[in-house]
Amino acid sequence: MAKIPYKWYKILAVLLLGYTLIYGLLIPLPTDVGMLDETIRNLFYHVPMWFGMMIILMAAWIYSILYLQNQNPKHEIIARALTFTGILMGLCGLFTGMFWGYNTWGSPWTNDPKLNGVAVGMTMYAGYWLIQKSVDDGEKKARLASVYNIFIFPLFIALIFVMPKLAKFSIHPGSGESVNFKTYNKTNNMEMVFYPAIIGWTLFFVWIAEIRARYEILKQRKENEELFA
Amino acid sequence: MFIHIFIAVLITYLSLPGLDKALYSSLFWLIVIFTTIQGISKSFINLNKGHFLYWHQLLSPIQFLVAKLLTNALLMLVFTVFSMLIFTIIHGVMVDDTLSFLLIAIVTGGGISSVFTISSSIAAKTNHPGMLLPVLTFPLVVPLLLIGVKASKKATDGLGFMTSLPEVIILLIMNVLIVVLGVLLVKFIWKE
Repeated sequence: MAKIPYKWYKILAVLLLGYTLIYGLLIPLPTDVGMLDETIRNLFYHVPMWFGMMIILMAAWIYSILYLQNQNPKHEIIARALTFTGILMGLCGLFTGMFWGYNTWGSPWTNDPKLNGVAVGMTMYAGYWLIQKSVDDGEKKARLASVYNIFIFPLFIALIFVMPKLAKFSIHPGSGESVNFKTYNKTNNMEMVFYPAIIGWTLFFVWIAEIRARYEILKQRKENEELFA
Repeated sequence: MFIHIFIAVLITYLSLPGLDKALYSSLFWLIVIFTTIQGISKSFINLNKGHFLYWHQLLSPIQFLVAKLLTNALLMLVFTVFSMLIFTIIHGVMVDDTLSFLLIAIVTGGGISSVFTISSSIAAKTNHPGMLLPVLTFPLVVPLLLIGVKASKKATDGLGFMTSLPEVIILLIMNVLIVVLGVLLVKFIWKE
């Protein structure tokens, strides 16, 4: 179950990422982007991280629900692997965003609702990690962590989707009153790279999560064998 | 607890004598949540395994959770009203629209107290409840708190209740969501 029985998605991930990396550097840019200039190419790295993080955390949420429903320890392991990968993706998105912000806004951290929302969201998921660390009993740990995961995901969504919508000003494009990237893209075909980049990065991180889940399952199987040997 | 609130407000008065309206609602909420987390978390952390077993024989988990939610919401309400009273006595009248401020405070406080209840019931089951509780709890109330602070700032400026209606509706939706999630999940937290 934890091993996804298809090889093609790994090949697809590599192909799409190769395409993104190479063609993302070659693609001619729209000329009217102003101070964004060449940094707009970060669109292919920064934004897919957030899309992928949402998809992966959503999958983790679903697996946590599945775990509580049928008590299959494998589901919990998959949920855990997915959640940690989601956190990793969030951190990657945060760092690429900080580079981008440093070069366009002048500082890596600004008082923007999206940044603050994500910072708080990451501390929520740090709580998930702490629960894993501070309970000894395996089954209880799995149960509490799943409950916590199910509980925080809606709040996390509220933080990063509802809060920026409520805030009137944001210097992120596409939220509040600032300009949207769509206005730039009219003249160009950046979407040709953007959408493959989202799929490619997401598949790539799913791959990481799959390896992690398989490793954890094997580890647990070995422990069980030693226990009953 | 009441002395706690009184001292906290007194400190804000001594350090910031000329408090303006912009700061008022943020300070107010800070004091209220730090007091409430003390009150609510105590009621969980001081319960040991024996207490849990005892309650388990008497009640179903959902009954226990609903009772806790109601008690804590009431507690939060009392704290909120009391700190408003103290704030008014010490700092003078800051809120232009007391009624809608109170209404917003009730809605936000209800949400915050239910998040506190559920997350402290999770934390109480771990090995280091006292250490884990703030880490698990504070990030979770941030979305509620930010919306609440924003809405109550409008009330302190006397903009009228209708301007903060969208925030109140979002808060109500989130409260319902939190309580429903809590009721659905409590039997998994509860099991030993």
